Amino acid sequence: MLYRAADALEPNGGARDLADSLYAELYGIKGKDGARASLLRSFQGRSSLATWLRAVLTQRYVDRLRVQRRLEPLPVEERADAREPADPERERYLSLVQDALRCALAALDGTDRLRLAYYYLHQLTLAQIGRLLNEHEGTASRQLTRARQTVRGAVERELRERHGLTHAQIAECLASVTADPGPLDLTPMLGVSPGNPASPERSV
Amino acid sequence: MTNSIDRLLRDALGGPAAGHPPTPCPDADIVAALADDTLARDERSRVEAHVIQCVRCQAWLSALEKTRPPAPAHPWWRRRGVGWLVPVAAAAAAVAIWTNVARHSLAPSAVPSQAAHNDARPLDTAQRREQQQAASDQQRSPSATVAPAPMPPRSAAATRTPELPGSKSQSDQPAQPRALADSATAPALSPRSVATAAQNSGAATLPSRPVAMAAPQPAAGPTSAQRVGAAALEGRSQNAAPAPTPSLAESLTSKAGSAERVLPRQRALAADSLIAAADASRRWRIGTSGVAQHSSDGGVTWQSMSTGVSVSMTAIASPSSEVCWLIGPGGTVVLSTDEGRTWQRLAFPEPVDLVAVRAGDGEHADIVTVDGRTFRTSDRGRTWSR
Repeated sequence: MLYRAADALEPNGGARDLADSLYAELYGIKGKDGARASLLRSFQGRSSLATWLRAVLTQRYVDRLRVQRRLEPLPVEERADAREPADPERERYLSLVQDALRCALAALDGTDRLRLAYYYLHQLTLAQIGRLLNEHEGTASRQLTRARQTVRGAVERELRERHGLTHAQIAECLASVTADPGPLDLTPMLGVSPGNPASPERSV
Repeated sequence: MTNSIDRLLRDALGGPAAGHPPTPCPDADIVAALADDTLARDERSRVEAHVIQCVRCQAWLSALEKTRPPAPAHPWWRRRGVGWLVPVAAAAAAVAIWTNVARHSLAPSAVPSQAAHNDARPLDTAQRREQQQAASDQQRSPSATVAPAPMPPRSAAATRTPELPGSKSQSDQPAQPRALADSATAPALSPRSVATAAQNSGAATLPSRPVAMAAPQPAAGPTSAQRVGAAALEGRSQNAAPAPTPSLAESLTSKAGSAERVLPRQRALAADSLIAAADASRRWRIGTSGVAQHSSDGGVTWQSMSTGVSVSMTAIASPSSEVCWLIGPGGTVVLSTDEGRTWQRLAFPEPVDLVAVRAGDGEHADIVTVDGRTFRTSDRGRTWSR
């Protein structure tokens, strides 16, 4: 069971060492006084043992990932002269969208924001989101669509009212930002068509 | 700059306080309970409020959810969308059972079953012909033996009804000779038709006087047994009918045995609708609790008279206007030879339930017990022979 969970986290077996160490702790590790203490003593029985074991394993896995990312060097910024000449308006548009998106997400309901994070940040499926939030998969899908529309409307309203952009400028701004979506796709979040023919990774 | 959008989203979705939530992260027990949905509502709300602000816990729960083993496949009847079939099927089964049980346990005499109807249909035609013949005979001779007068509505319906469960049990014997089947069915149709059939056969044991016999009719078990008893009487009185074969005797015994499980209420219902008629105007019928009713005006008015017993009678026979034989459970045999003014209880050899009676006069009678045996007396019940 531990190996299956580890393989679900990293199919290449990169998390099996965590499963091995956890198994050893479950068996019991001798302390300084020579007594063997098992990790099972901390199990309170509020869930099934299998779920608790998976929870312990995933906790260690997430903590290890966070430590590794903290120690990773930041990507070296490409030299400006090596890049293609950028659109002079892109920097401005990007800044505007950053501000508007941050405001829109901050104004969003906490559960909606969590739903978006599960979907866009942690790449969970609708069924998994539904199980975590104790709701049906269809409900999760509808709520996600509604949250996305809310975010898009708030971004457009922010760009229009605060920065005085017209409809055409807003469309150009969003198209410019979403032309390079990166590993996390903004296209479904913002509800605009990407400038390139690449299809979005996630859709609601 | 290329990944600025990604970083922006990650930061924005993680919240401004990502990594530094105001409350401490839950331990593995609570997270596992959250995944198993065993947390209390308020505690779950607290944990979810924390998770909204904590990227680490979001990642933890996401990883935990990704390691969830696939749910076992449910059988098709437990899938979503077909669950409604379970109560619907249960309701349909309940209705079907209720309908069938109600029909077989409390079958009204006015609603014949299709099987009984099919059995009786050929006889209806013959019966109608016999009635027409009897009517023409009576027009020619006032001393005709069969009454052509119309029956009262209730009794007419009862005698017209080829009754239910017994007919079904007979339909279970397709190998029986047709004549025997007819003789078993005929008594349940009409006393007049029985009398006429006995006369037409010309071989009755007591043919010197008109024979009127009332066969028990409706309801479940007793009707079957009584009809079996009447069939046995008919088989004895009609030379044309073949003698009962051993298999038939076995079937008679089995049917009589099933009749012993009948409810007393159904037995009373069956006996209540029996009518015996010696002629067109003078008729007898069984009342409740040992009461016999007599009509001198063709069934328009009925006069109740106590027979001295308190049990519910099961069959009646009236070979003449003055004579009436009544039988019932526990070997009850009651006889009146003075048109019901006095009743005499006769001693029966065994305290067994009696289901059918055929009488020639006030001295001679054949009585069938519930287990299919036939007892005969020729001296007004002083001695009985089998």
